[in-house]
Amino acid sequence: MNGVLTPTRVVAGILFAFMAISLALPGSASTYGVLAYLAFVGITMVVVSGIRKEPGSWLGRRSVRRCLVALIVAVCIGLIATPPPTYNSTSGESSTGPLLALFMFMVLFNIALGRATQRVVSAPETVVDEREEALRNRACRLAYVILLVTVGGVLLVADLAGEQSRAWLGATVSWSGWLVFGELLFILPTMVLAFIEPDRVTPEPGEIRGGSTARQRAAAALLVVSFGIPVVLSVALAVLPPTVSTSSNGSIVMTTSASGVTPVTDCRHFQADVIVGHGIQADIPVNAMACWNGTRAAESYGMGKSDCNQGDSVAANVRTLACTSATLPDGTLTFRYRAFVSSSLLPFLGRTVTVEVIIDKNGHVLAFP
Amino acid sequence: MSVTEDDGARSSDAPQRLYNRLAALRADRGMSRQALADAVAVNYQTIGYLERGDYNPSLELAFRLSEVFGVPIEAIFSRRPMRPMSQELYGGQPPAEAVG
Amino acid sequence: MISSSRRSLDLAGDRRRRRALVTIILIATGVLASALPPSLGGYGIIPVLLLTTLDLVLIRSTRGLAFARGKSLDERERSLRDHAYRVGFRWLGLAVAILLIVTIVSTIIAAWLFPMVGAPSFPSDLNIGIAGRGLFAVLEILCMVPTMVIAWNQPDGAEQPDQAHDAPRQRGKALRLMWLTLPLVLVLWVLDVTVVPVQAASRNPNFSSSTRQTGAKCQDFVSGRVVGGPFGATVGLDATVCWNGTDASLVNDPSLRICGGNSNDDFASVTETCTTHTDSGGTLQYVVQARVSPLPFSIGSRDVTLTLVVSRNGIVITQP
Repeated sequence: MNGVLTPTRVVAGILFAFMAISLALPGSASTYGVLAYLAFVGITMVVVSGIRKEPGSWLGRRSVRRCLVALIVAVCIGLIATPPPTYNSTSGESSTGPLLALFMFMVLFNIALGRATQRVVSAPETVVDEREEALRNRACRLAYVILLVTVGGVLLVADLAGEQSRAWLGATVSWSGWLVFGELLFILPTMVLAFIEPDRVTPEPGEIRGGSTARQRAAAALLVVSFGIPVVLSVALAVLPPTVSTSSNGSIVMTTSASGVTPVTDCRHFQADVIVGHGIQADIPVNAMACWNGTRAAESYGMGKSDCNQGDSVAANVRTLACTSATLPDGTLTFRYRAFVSSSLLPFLGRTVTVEVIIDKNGHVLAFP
Repeated sequence: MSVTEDDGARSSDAPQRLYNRLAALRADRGMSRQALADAVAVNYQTIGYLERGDYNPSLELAFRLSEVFGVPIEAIFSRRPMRPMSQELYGGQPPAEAVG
Repeated sequence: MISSSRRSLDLAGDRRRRRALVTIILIATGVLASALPPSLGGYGIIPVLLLTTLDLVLIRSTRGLAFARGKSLDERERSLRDHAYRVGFRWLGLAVAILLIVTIVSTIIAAWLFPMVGAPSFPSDLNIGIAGRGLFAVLEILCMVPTMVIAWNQPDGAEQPDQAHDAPRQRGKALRLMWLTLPLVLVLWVLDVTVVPVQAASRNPNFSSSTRQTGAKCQDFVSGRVVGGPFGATVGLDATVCWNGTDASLVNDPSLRICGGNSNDDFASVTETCTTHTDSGGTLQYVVQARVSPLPFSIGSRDVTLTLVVSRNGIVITQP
């Protein structure tokens, strides 16, 4: 392969293409938004990866670098141990757990580690001297052995041991395992190099070339934006009011009877999507039909106690607080779904959302998103 | 210590430490590490590692250093602790004891 | 003087032949990881042994440099070895990605060409983990990439045949002993299939079958037994049973055409017999009896039985 098309870049391209296809297939605005963000992060990584800035006296110390390596290992273990995103169709609750936060920590530590090692591992051969070349070759050899033992060993043992280990393997390989494998594939040599390289030589006055280049400033700005976007969107989820994307309560004449309402005169179909947040968001859909006959209103479908569901969500957790459906003595039908929606990144920051549909015995809509 | 055995086993896994006079030669010429690094086309960190003995140069780098300082390689690097250069140049007489 | 048989195996001085061998190994690994053919009919150990033999020839041609300890190497060899690992690390990701693409594409093709047999190299309805041939392909890539890099890049005439045995005594001994790997692999495989306890396998939660209709009075049963782990065979039971208060019946395969669905016989042959019987009380008994044989003439074979008993009211009396 030529200098531009390296194996690492081809693999990164394949991974990105795979993510792009899986995100683009649903075809929703939110998934396109995630795709655009990932593309922005990819551009940021490309800009950052080409910068070889002095790590400074603190990051240059081996003890600090080893702590960074330990933190990355802890994050990888956390990713493996975290269960995949869940959605309970009965209660309407969903949770992505700490995945997003762990992923962002991993990216942050990777950037710090790259700075601490001056990105020697990924630097082109024209800019590294013989010592750096020998060091990174040695780091790659040790990293390869570690990868062989951990990945190969885990695969072999888990596949041979028993049913529980195979079940664990299946769950891990389909989700966070790939994330950790990608981390090891791209970052493990840098981690090993950071671990084995002695303390860096303290620069003498004049040895550190001052000032920052345009590329360094651009990289810093891109990093701030990349990390800032999820934080801003998480805060926006809690601060900004929900939006209703579609809404209709048309009147339909039905000839078949609805549950508990005979004879039937009219029915209404209710459809709405209550979207909490922008980018990092949860969608609470309403798809229901209610009928009335002048004496009472009753649900045809979609307004029962098991109909508190959520639709697509992007990095958001939805926790059901209350799901009630009742017909009042005056024949009014009420359906109320109250949920706490928060960002996976900042799970303590969220907002309570209440979706109500209330229709009286004469078909007047008293409440609807 | 490197070991050469009859069966042809080569050096041990860790290379033998080389002693050097880089810091002294550099100070003698008033060169910073960066200046020396630029002269021999390496990172200034590598000069620091060489001086600390944490890295052994390749033959090519040793020759480049030799050309920059204008002294033979064995005057810069040695497998044994190096005597002061003054002793090397002037017969190795120990300094006279102070009177009084 | 080196004998002619030794000389033919000695690729140290011939880069073209070494590169051809690397290419053959990569292609063979890709074919093994693919889902084509869907079943190796119990002969999976043969390609594994052939691939291992090719690996050993390649290791010998590089004097085992990739696996040599630092103490037995001089600085040139150490530098060469470390550089090979760095290049190998960069190519490892691409190799794994290509292996994955080959597996996925071949699974789709196999499912289209052999709809009844399915694609055993990809997770099936049964939770059997990673199939043995796929696992071996991954381990092959992990272990051999640095050696392949060295073999590919080492120049012609790097070591002349008459110098080939000047390697240090330790390495020379190791290179001779490595041929014991072949009988060791064979023995371990036979022990694995004949001695290791049979393990249960339940439904794979990621690939639950959803094509069959199951109403309030029907239920899917997917279960199996794993003999010898991923390098043995799997005997599966796949049944949909419906009941109506009078009797229980098998509905997805009444003529028993897909007897023992989800079975996998890559590394040991599986001979299955399925029987179904409904007694006078309307209770259905569905039995899968299988013989798993790693060697010809049923040498070292093991018998596995899976029994499912469902009453006419849907009460599961026995399930595997």
